[in-house]
Amino acid sequence: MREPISAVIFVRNDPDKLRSLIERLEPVLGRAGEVIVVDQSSTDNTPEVARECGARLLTRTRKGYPDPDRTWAYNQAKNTWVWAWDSDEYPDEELLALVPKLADQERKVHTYWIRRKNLVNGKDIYPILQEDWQPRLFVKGSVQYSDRMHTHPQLGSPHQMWVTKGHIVHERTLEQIEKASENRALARDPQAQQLEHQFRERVRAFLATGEANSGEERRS
Amino acid sequence: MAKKGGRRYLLCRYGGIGDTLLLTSLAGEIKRREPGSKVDVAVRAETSELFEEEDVFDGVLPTKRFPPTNVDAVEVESGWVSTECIKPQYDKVYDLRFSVENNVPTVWLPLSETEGPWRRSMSSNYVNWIDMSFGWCNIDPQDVAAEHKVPTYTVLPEELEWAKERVHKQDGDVVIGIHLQASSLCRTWYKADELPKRLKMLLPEAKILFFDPTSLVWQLQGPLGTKTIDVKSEGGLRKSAALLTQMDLFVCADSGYSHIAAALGIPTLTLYSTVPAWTRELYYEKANFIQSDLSCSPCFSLDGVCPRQQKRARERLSDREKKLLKFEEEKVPPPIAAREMDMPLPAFMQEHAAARQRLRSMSTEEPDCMKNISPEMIAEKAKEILDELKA
Repeated sequence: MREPISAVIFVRNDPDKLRSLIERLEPVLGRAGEVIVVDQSSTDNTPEVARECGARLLTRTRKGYPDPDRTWAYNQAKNTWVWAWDSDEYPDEELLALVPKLADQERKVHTYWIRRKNLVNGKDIYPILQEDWQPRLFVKGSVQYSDRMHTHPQLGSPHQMWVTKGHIVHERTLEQIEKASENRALARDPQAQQLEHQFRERVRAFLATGEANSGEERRS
Repeated sequence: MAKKGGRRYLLCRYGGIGDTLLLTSLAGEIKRREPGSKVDVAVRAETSELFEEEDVFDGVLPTKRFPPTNVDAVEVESGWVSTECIKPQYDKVYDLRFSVENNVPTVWLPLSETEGPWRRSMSSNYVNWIDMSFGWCNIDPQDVAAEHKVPTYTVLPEELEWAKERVHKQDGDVVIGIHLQASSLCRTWYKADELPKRLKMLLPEAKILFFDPTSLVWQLQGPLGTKTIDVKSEGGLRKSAALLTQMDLFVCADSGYSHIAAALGIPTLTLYSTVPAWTRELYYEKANFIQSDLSCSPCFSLDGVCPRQQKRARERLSDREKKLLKFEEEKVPPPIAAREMDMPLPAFMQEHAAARQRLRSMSTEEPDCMKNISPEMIAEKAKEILDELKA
């Protein structure tokens, strides 16, 4: 039986992408579905956009990255199924068609891992950052995040599934990646800082070569 | 054909070829005890083709392991689903993923089906593995006839024909197979290249079917020359298994192929280093073995490295390398370790990885227990077995 979904979106100063994401998600969340926007102290009109779109708005203080708030925010969902998002991501058509069928406890699955591909300036940066799997659709309470950046969440159940159809598309600009390096939270974590630095340099070099490598060949 | 309404069993085993093959005896026994029951088996996708023709299995579910949580999953229409999700469809599930190797219950698998008097009394080191498979499923191994403990393997008629065509065995020909690769380096015999030469000296008329570990193809070495049989391009594991039917003697390491040969009734000569032979081939009628007789053997290590050699390798590391690796042992986070070493994190990570790699490569050189088995010993034993068979 199809069950309603609560989409939980983390955002900071990103009204346009937030609106676009909510518009895509709403039709598939089910009649009792809801959208929760977790605003990390935006300084622009992001909260107004969230309200206009009919989302439930939760405001958190800015910590530099969302991980410390994730577990708390997902537990605020009123529905059993939580679909976790960041505002710079969106689902492709295949995933949108599939997800309503997946949110069904009769399937005995508690956590769905969904593939995520990464675009920078519209280009798939597969040679640098390969597609990864993210536990994004899950039964409330079955995924726990730690306070640290770039760590995998703890899963409370082995009832999992890896969805091979559809993608979460993570789209950023080079400017956003460079801005992320100024992040104060990052400055406190030398290991994460180092990783970000290496990543930024490789992306910059990849984009500068001008090769339109969509990554499709590598994936196939 | 199973009777409608019989109980449905699922056996889960994600180990190598041999591990899964041993489940054929278990599935057979379940069906003997409960006529009409159905037994499905979840195995690693890489080896699943080997078990698809076995009548004792009603279904073979290929599985894949997914990082970072290393959950085993089976393929369904929209992706891969963890075996936990399909378990409720069965009346009884025996999940041997954690129970056999580790001998400890896992945190999240409901092991109620493998709980019982046998589970508590069995240690994977000191029991024959077939008996242990029964024990883990709460079947008293002593109640199972010895002939029912031998695994089964089916070679299809077309595969048999293929193997005959490749080997061209004539009346009176003696074919000796050699496959000395195992899943871990500790159980792989390193001087495989030298053995055909030795065997030819003692048995000049014999044809040698040698698995070349470098190019991963079989070589048929006869008195008139050498022919390559490339099974990789022709169906992989099943074709290799079919070649076993043409052998008069199969010289092998402690690997899955030794169990397939036993299932096919082919005489074997198996080299054992880290585990005692009786834990593997107690019920195989035509099995022969050479066991390393070092004081440390059998050490029961199933890892890729010899514990003694690893200890020696550690001593050969430089002081700096030892210091780098000590951080890992003491679980010091890399940024803190890098600070202590007064070096930037990327440089630390690079040097640390190099030290770890050097330790690993020094630890996986030929272990003492394998060095202890010489080509001469194997060749002489092989001749002895063949003479006995002839007599």
